[in-house]
Order: sequence, then C-alpha cells, then structure tokens
Amino acid sequence: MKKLFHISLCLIFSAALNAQEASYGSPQDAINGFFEASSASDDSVRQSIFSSLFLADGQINAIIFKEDQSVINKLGSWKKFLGESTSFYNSYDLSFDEVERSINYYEDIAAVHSLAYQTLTEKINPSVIYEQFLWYTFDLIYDGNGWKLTSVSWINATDNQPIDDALTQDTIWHTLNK
Amino acid sequence: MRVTKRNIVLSAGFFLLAIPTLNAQESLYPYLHLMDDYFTRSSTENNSITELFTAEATIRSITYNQDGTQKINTFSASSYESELNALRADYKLFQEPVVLLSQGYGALETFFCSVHTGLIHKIDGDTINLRSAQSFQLVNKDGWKIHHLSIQNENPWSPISDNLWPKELTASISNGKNISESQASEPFETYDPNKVYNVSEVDEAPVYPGQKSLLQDLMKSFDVTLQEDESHSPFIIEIAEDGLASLKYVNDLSSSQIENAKSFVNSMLIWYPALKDKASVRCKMVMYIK
Repeated sequence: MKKLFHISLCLIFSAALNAQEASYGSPQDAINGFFEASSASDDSVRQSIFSSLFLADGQINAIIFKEDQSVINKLGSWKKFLGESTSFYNSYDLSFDEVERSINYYEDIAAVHSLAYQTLTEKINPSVIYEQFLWYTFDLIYDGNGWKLTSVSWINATDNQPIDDALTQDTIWHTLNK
Repeated sequence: MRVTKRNIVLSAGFFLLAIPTLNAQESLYPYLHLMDDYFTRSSTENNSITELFTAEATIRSITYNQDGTQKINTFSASSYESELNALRADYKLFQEPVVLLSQGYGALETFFCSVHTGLIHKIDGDTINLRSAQSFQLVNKDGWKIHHLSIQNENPWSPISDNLWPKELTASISNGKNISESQASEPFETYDPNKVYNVSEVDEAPVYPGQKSLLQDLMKSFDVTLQEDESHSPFIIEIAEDGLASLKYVNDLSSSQIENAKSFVNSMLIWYPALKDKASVRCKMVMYIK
C-alpha cells in the first residue's frame, strides 16, 4: 500500500513537471492545450497547464453578451481567472467541442479564432446540462521555445445574432479617414 | 474606408464609388472609428492614444537581439505611448494600415493587419519605411477600446504575404499618393516574387553559409566549377526565397552527371537567399560539372 502511494506521488509529480515544462510547437497545439485545461475539473491541472501555456502576464477575458445586447466584461490575467473561476469549476463539469478554427499569422505572432460548443453539467445533479456556443479569439507569440498565449477572449452566442458570422472574415483595404 | 464581406477584396476602381458610403459603413462598423482614431492619433504629435485602450490593455512587440535571440517587450497603453514619444524626439512618425482582416461578434472584434510605418528624421529628412503585422483585440466596454495588441516587424528574409501587402495598394504608397515624396524614396516591392532572377539582376547574390572554403570543398568533391571549360557541362541551380537549393536545367548533362549534380545539390546547406529591393527573391546560378 505504501509502495503504491509512493508510485502515485511520483506519477503526479511527473505529470505536473511535464505540464510545466511543456512547450507548444505550433499555435494549434497551444489551442488544444487551452481547451484541455479549460475542461479539467482539477484546479491544479488547470493551473499547471495554464502556467505553461500563457506568458506570465497573459490575459483571459470573458465577455458576457446578453439577449438585450448589453455586455458584461471580465478582463484580467489568467491567474486572476484561475482564482475567480474555482467556485464555478466546483459546481460544473465543462466540456468543449470545437466546431471550426481559423488562423492568421506572420512569423512569431498568430491570431487564432475558434467556434466552440460548451457543455456545462451540474456536479450535484448531472441531469442538469447547459449548452452554448462560444467564440474564442487567441493571440499567441512564439517566445523562442514555443508558442505562448498572450491574450484569450471569448464571447457567448445570443439567440438574436448568429454566431457563425464570427468566423466570417472581412477584408478591408484601408485609407485613413483624414 | 472600404469594407468588403467574405474575403472579397474590391478593386481599386471601386474606391471612388465607396467614398459616398463611408459614413454609412462607419456607423455599421463603429469599431472602425477606433482603428481610424488609433492610426491617426499615433501618427500625430501631441495626440494621446491611451484613452483608446482599456485600463487593462497590453501591447506586445517582438524585437531581436544582435545574436538573433528574441525579446518580447510588454507595454501598458501609457508606457507604449512613452515609447512612441521617445521616437518622436528624433523622427516624425507616420502609421497607416494597409489591409485589415477583421473578425468579430457582438462586443468582441479582432483585426489582423499589415501596417506601413514611416519614420522621417526631423533634421536630415532621412526616411525609414517599416512594414509590420499587427494583431488587435477590441472589446466594447463603454465604447470600443483596444484591449490587446501584438506587433511583429517584417523580417526581410520572410516578406509579408501578398494578400496583406497587395501591389494595388503598395504601388500607390510608393507613387507617393498616400505618403510624401520623401517617404516614397524607398519604394516597396518593386521585385517580382514569381521571377527567378539572374545573379546580375539582384542587389545581393545568394551566399553559401560558413567559411568560403565550405562551398569550395563541396564543389571540389563533386568536380563542380563556376567557370566554363571544355571538360565540364553546364547546369542550373535555383536558390529559393527560403534559401533551399534545387536542381533546375540539366539538359546538357548525361544521366551519371545528373545523378552527381543531384547529390551535389542535396548536400548543400541552406543558402542566404538573394536580395532585391530588401526582399529575398528566387535566384538562379549556372555551374559546371565534369
């Protein structure tokens, strides 16, 4: 029993170490890592993956878009997000299904857009399930060792406005309005 | 400002038709006001940009040390403004977006854009033209504000793609329509990215990496020369923009010579590609094999 305990400890330590040392070779890997972390119910797993995914002062911004078009912005660091979302994660299991992803990049910066279907399942009553579409926009920078998230923002879909439009890219040739 | 939907880029001829609809479009796309404001104010002395950013906004730029190692610089809106003001001590600063790729929903909007920056020295009038890719995240928080901005200056070895730097627009920049004659003194992109240039046509010929003897030894081991003589047959290699060499014209070679030439090219390291108008271009070189 004692031996098993020690093996478990080693495995946990090794997993945490691997997550902290992980580097993401492509923006796509980093986005996959983000959704993996966001689905993890264990605080320490989210903490561990986010710390390898984000720059130290990286941002997570949640924008709550209401049916009446009013908006609540929750802007801040990923560390603040981890602290403030603990009670939410204690109440719900989260899962994400990505519907579509697009990327714009040049050299060491990238902007990724993702449309994801989020499912929230109440922990105390798993028959209660909430579902919604979220549009994510990720800014990434290659820091010499791998791709890091610098800013992640998401917004929820409302019934009044189709969210598929979020992934429709407009191209604007600009002349300054002088 | 012209707005098109679903990746359609309007032709330059449509520009005049678009002007009367300017106001209507800007009311439809209010975040464009913010982008206009940002680029106009950042191009104007004594005009603050900080109020265009959220209080939590972060601006990141990437610079490179002399040894090629990367440095990520992080600024708040006010410290970024201080950086711009420090530049303005010696230069007039001008920034203009060229192509903006826009995606958004509700209170969240993004722009991935190419930007032309002009730095005109206040005393000698020398102009430095820079191109960069910039990624903006905008949020609607008591009006549209910039919440995150990443800036990557162009790497001359890896030019910004044509879709972000279209000839139709850059030609007008270099013709001085958008910028003054002095700024246009360094025109962009007069090279043809699809052309394979002769060595005599480029500003800088391709350079093999390492000591000069490295290429000489390689050539010697495959009995390749740069000088024509009766015992050697000509063939052509191409050095692509990314420095990769490939075998091209081999019609004068025997099958065994072709095999040798292939091995020769496959043994090459990645070249420093040819440069024309400060951009890396494809370049062909004639060599001779025994």
